Amino acid sequence: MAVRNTRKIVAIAGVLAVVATAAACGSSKKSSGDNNATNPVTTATSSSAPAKQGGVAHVAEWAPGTSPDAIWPFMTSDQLSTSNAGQFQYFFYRPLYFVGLNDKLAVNYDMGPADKPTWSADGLTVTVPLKSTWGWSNGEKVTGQDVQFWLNMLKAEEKQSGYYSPPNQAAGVNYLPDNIKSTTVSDSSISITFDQQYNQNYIVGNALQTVTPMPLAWDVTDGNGTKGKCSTDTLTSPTLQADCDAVFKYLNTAGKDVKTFASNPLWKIVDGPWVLKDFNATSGAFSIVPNAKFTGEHKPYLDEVDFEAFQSPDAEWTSLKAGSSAANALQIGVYPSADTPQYNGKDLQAGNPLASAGYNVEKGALLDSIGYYQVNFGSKAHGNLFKQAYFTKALQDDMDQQGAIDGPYHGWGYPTTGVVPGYPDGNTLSPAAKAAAAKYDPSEAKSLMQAHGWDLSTNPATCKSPGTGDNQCGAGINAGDKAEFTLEYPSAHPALDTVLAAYKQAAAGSGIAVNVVTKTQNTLGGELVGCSTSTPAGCQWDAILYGGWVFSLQPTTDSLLTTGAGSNIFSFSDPKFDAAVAKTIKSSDPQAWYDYEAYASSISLPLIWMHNNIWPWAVAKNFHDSGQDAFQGFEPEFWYYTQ
Amino acid sequence: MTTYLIRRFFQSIVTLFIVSIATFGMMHLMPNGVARAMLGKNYNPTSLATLNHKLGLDRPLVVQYWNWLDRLVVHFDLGYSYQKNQSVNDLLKETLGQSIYIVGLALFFTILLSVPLGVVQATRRNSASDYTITTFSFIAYAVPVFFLGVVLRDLFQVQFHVIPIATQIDSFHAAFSQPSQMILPVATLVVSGVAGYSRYMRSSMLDEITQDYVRTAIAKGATKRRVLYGHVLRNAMIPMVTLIGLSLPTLVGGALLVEQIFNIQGIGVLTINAALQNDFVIVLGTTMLTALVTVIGSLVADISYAALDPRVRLT
Repeated sequence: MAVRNTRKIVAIAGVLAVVATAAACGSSKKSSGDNNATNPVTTATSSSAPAKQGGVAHVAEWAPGTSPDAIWPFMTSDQLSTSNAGQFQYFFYRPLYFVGLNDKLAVNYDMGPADKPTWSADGLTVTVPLKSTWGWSNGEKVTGQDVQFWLNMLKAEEKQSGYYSPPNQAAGVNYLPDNIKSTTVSDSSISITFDQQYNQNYIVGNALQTVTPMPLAWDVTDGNGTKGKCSTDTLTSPTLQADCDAVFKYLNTAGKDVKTFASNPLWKIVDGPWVLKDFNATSGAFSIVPNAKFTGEHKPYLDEVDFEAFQSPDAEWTSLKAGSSAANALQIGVYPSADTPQYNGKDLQAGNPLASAGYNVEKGALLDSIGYYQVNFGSKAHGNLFKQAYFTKALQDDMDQQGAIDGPYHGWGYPTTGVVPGYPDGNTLSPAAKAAAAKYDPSEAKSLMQAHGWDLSTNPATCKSPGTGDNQCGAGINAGDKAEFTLEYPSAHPALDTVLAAYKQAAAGSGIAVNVVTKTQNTLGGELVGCSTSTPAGCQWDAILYGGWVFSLQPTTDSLLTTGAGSNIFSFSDPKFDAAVAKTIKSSDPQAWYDYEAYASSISLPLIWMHNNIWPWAVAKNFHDSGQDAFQGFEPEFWYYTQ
Repeated sequence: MTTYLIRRFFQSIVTLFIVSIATFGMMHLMPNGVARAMLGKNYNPTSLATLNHKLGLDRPLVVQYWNWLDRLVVHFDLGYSYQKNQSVNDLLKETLGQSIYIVGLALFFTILLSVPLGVVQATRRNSASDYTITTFSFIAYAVPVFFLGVVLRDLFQVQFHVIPIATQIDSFHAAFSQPSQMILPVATLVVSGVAGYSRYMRSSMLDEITQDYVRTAIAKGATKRRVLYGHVLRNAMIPMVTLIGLSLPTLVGGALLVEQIFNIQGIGVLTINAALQNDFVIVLGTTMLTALVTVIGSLVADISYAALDPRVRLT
């Protein structure tokens, strides 16, 4: 299941990724694609001076206006976000497997309660050993039963859970917990037998990475501590639904009661390195302190981390400008796009506007993500146009990703080259995908339009050769039809205005009229539904830039692009593509990825690639910051003041 | 007077009813609904249906409105924000304090400064002091609040560190316990407010000074001072009272720009963020509260006018 706790925030991140600037550091290297992109290397520049133990750090919450709203690590669909997960819950409650540390696409076995899993010879059963040293702050060990508790909850609350994906018939796969035939639980492990063979990396990095053991003390049905039975059931218990319903009802209510986040004894039982000290229900600001009982490998240096809430990037910027030695100064903040220094691969600190205020520029993470705007194959007006591979290729050719990065984004970004992210390191990239990497080539776009029966002497171009031949406009396109569509994108983002104005101009040169329209982010979110008889509004939109997609560890698009997938609102359906995706989930053979990428790059996908941003962080010069991970999470246990 | 009050009461009810319908209707104009926007990337038909049901958005609009109105009228319950996981009443309690604190202080100082400035300008019309105050008034009036706020903030907090940067003012306690943090937001509002109010006071004073009763009083031997402060000022204050009454809604409406600039979690910021996030329950709540205070404010202004000016009869 490619559900990473970033779905909701991806919308924000994706857009912010296009909106905000980001930091990168280190040297540059040539892109493996054809676009000659300059790609920031992911080496941290944070102070390497010796660590000082203790101290209080003030850190800006990642995106102004967003703050945690759920503490129980079993989120409903509307709660699932990185501001809740990697930037909050993971501090206290660790999923079985942690991924993406140091911007590397790998499992970090030292960060979570589970050791490396072992697989049965038939490839159907995975045994997850739990570290004997890993325990809860109430003195209990993390056991297989704690994992079973979470799985039981998922089974019983499929409809409520944000982690649940219904079976994907197109890809021929079930997701947690539907793909589990049975489990065997012990104090030191849990063995899970699946319904079929899966890509083992996928199971660990995509499926088990979402599973968070829950202490048995949470198996209660009310504030009086009335014991529940959800944790002791099995997935096939006849009473599972009723047993878990009562617990879910209570924990879900408590877990979103922002006023009692810091006071509810339930949430004091943690197995992560931190415990919540206080939480301001109004602003979302919160403080964390070390979990004194933490038995994991990476214990915090700091005595306290205060995550400050800001209403706007401007307010945060003001605080940064006041200097790192001012009262209540931030140790970590984010440069607003307007004040981001120009990226300089040789000297990251060059032009740093906060140098005299006591801050260094540091890079944010390269997310395991793809940036894009999406087109609607189900659009009544222009769906047939988008289904033509030459047309989406032309749309891609007109998108100057590197120009956007170098221009309004001051160099802080990296291109999306295809369906599998080329950055950060760690993904399997096929030669075919590298050869077909997205590039900026308006002349090719123009040639493609001319070669497929479009009259470019009109504005916009009109179809003069209808039909399905190689040199004709394509199925469903009539003589005289215009090459035009409406592209909606989030308002109040000047950099985006610049990027899309340039895009509109480039597309016009190819005979394509892109009518750009701005709307608020949430309005766009509301419009994004698939075209069906029950949702006719989903047949109205042409193209929307809403946000990119942050993958789980294995960057397969089962949840995004397969037929009938929850997030496939593009009316995109291709059986061959579905089969290629299915292979990436079921097979551990790298060839499955090669085939998938090759096929994806040969067809018309409903996604036009755009660049990804990297966030530029301002970090106090006397402070060491480990940056974000590749999935937008923080790890404050690696932060410290330097000597 | 009683008849007038009864009529005004019913007019107010109708006004509030219309405001509630308009706001409620507009909030539901969003394509595909609020739940879709809330889900973001976590959208799928099942999650959408579940959330719609949880939010009660799968019921007919009329039923939703009636339920909301029933809770509002019977219990003064403004609803529950699922996005903030808090009741709107609680959110208002948490944000109103700092907004009233800032806007109230600003209003107080604005009046305190505007009245004497207006009097000085009127009594010394066309003098150097009149021109000086007028010039400053025009400048202050012309400078947008957001610009002034940013300038003051950058000057006193960032450049010269006269006032320390605060962490967010996110409670009444925080606002009260950090009085230095209130100086700049209040000053921003006062500068803008004084510019307008003092001009208004000047005009009002000039209107009165030219009245017959002033000449009569002076002709009868009353001192200029006594006429000015005993009669003219009192009468000139009548329109000002109306103006102040009509300013009451800003107390609960908050000062959005100033709250944003100085990172104050007030009702203005709450409302705008809610609007941006399609949290229509909060927007409805704050809109209704503002509408209620507006209606009360205008009623208070009218009654005060009648009480202060015997010539006015409310019928």
